[in-house]
Amino acid sequence: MLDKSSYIRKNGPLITIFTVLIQTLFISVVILEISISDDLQWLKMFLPFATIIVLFLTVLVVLSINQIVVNSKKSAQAEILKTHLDTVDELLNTMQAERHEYTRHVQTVQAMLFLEENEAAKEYLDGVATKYWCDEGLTYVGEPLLTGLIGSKRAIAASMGIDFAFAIKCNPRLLPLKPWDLCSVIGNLLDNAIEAAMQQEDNDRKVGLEIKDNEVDYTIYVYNTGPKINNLEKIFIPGFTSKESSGRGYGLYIVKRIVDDSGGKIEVFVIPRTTFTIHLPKEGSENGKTDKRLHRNQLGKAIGI
Amino acid sequence: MKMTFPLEWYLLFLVSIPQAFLVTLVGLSLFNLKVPETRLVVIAIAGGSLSFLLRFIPMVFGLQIFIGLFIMTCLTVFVGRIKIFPAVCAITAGLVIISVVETSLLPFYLLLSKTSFATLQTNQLITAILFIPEALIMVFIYGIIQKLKFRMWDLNNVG
Repeated sequence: MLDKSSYIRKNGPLITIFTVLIQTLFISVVILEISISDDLQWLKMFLPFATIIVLFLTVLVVLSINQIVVNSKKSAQAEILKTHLDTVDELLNTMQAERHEYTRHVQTVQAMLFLEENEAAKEYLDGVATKYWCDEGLTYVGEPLLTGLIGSKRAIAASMGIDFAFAIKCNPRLLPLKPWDLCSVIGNLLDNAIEAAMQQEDNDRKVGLEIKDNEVDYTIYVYNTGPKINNLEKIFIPGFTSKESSGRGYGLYIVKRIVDDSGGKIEVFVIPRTTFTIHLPKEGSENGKTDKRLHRNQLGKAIGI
Repeated sequence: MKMTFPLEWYLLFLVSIPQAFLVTLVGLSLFNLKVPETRLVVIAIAGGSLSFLLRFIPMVFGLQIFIGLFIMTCLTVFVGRIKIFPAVCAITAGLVIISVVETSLLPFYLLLSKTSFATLQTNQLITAILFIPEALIMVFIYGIIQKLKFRMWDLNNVG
């Protein structure tokens, strides 16, 4: 039973196509029969059975389409989770590299102090401290997945010479998005921002992220320097991309879909710089949806509303 | 009800085999299934011949299409080395297209030639002549499929 249902899941689209084709073939044969027959009396007797056959095939098609939709959702969720795993993987690699560097610096300083080269050690430490002045490691922003994502993107931006600034001015757990959806939204926007900023000159590469709690909603800003976006009306269409790779063009579509599903809206500004602004409704607001993923500490307040 | 009628021997080479070839070619291309040309020709010859022989068995007109579907599918599976379900889908797709083309053209044939279906039984050379536009349309459809790389579902020969 399990094998049969997994076979149907795997071949759902093909089963749908086959059912439609058989239906069409059946109808074509009936039409051909009508074209060439002189006497349609026998066909009239056959028509009720033909109707039942067509109806049965239609039901099969509908069931298959439902299964395809379910499979698509699962695929999309798996893709999002995979992206997060990749992000965490990137972060772990970055942290490993930093730890390696840190160990090397400690050993170097230890060697210098052992050799009583105190001035050289001080000079070395000054140099290292300046280089890593802005590199404060992980900054916890209130949500572990988001923390990991921001840490990873910051490391990537630093390696590309991009000035990445972020400000999380509210508790991300209160946003009406699941953590992985939030990371998918911010991750996709930051990826695009970083790629655009890379096209700027070395001293003008800036990417920023801000999440704040306004009176009426939560707002997420992602901005970047770089070339202006053309075809603004098309950027959320699936498959539309300015990059040459054939597998691109779905990031902003996914972002928009997640934002729309949560009752929010997304705006794009190109002046003075490219800024994506996402407004997410607060609970209890007109467009807000009940957030079933409230933090435990917030649950009591939700019941009281 | 109309029954099938046997075909003249020359229609095996002028209609049955080319039709089987076109059905298989178009059907497989719609699912991006690749079969070597030699095997394709073998499938066409065997399938066309068996479909031709089928016409000698009296049956309700139209039933031979579904039996032909079964025969062509078996040949595609065993000769073309394609898995069963993809083969069924591919041959069905090819048959649907050729059936729709034939069903669409037949009334025009009969109207322009001022004949009836019964005439086709007696003068089967007309059947061969009438197959020419059908074949051209199928070749055109195949060209469009290849040009646009249109696929109903890309199976890419994974079966």
